[in-house]
Amino acid sequence: MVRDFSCGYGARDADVVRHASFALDEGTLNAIIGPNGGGKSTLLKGLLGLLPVAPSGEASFFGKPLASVRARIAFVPQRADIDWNFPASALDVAAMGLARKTGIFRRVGRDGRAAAMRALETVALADLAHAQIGELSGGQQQRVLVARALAADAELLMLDEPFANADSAASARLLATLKSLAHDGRTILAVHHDLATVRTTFDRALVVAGRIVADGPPHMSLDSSTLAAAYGIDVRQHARPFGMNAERNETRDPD
Amino acid sequence: MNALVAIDLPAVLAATLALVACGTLGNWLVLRKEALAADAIAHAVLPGLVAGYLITGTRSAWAMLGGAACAGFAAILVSRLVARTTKTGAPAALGVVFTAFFALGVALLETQGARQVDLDPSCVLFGSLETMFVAVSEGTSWIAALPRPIWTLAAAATCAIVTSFLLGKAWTIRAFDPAFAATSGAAPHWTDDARLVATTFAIVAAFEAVGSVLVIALMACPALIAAPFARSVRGQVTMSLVCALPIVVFAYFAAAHAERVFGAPHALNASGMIAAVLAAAVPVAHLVHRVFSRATRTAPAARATRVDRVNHRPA
Repeated sequence: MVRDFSCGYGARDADVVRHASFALDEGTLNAIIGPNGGGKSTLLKGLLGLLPVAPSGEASFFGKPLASVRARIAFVPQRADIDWNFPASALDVAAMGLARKTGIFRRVGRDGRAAAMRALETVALADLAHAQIGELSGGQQQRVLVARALAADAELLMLDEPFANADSAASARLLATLKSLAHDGRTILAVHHDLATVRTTFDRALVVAGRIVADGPPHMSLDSSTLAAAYGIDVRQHARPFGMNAERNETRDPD
Repeated sequence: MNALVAIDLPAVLAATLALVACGTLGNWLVLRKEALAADAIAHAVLPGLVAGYLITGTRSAWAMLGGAACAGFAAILVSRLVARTTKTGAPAALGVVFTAFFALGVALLETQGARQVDLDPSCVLFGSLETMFVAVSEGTSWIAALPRPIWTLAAAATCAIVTSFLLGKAWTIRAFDPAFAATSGAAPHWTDDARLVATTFAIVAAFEAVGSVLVIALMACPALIAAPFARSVRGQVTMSLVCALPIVVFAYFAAAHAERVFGAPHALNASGMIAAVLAAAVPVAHLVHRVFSRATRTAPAARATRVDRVNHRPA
């Protein structure tokens, strides 16, 4: 539940997102969409306390403050925020999700590695478990981060542009994974840019452009007047089919 | 007692312990792209050295070490505060704060009557490996006669290994994805502070024996040598120490016996030689990795081409 929530990087009167209020239903697939600079990622980071300036307003998760339910929430950052040359395998990254459960001082044991492997199986990456993360394609790397969230047994997954720079096949596979997770009762909140997939796949869309411009099922919240207000253009003229908004197609993903 | 045991062995032991203390923790500095923090800490300890002398009135090792460690850690905290509360990025904040600390140290040195604090520039840069000899008198053992800096280094090396073993997992998570570490609570902020305390202790402990040049080299070079080959953080830490140890030993003896090795008129500075060889090993390691990766990449392709030629040879 988010009520009258404002956040940004500096003074209160320069907040990037202002007076946002919304509530998510459990087991649903939710998209945050909006123009560049509209505050989509800032809203996500503000909710998770990742901004340098404390936000104002109220944000609770599962009816409780963030600090008491951290274990039930997992944040999946943008791929660009990660150093993919880091010396780690896909299994190592997935196993990081278990760190809170195992405690700070204890290493992840055999059971933990098995749980991490199950998480990788869920995202169809078990056969690449021992591959270095730098050797994976963009789509596979994104799925490894989702596997880490699954290994943490998170009930709420907050993903910052998980489809950025992923080609059509990788996007479709990741989307199928997210749908299946929502079907299993997990709640997904993802920053997304592709209006077409939001319309066809997501349960709900929050249109963010400095504030919540619209909130509801995509067929209602993504009407042309709302989008014109958010993007400042007639989006119907610009919306492209699924996957065509990828800035760069990656060819390494074998799927 | 021969010269090897009395002179060379204590110096090699000191350099090895400095390698373990600095090289282990340096891996996480490199993974976090903060390798220059070692240089910054090495400079920021100056006001602590002077303050240690001013407060205690002595030049005892513990007063100096305590002051230096406090100054190093304070500088890290202030640089974080600057980075968090201004639009300055973390590297720039580090540069500003450590410069300010170094300047404060010089000002204290000049104005507070602390000029007796003996800061011989060559000692600061290259340490005192050459003076790490053991003079065994009647009734004392070789170990008991080891110079005090070696014991300080042993404590720092033990601290580095123990903290890495206990907190390495949390440090790795924070290095890989700070946002996930912060949101999941898997690697709390204090684990990072503990890493910086251990790092500061390692730098301060090694500073006296091996000097600032080798401290900075030991923090960055072993990790950078291992980085291209490493497939896990634990593997990188192990490989960095295993690869750097023979370099340290070889470079020490090359410097100590420079007359015979290079035909030099006298022995060369051991710390400087070790730092130079370690630094030279970094591009070599990356070059070897590149050649090796190219060979392993092209080998199957070359084989396939040969097979293709055989299969399509005209009758």
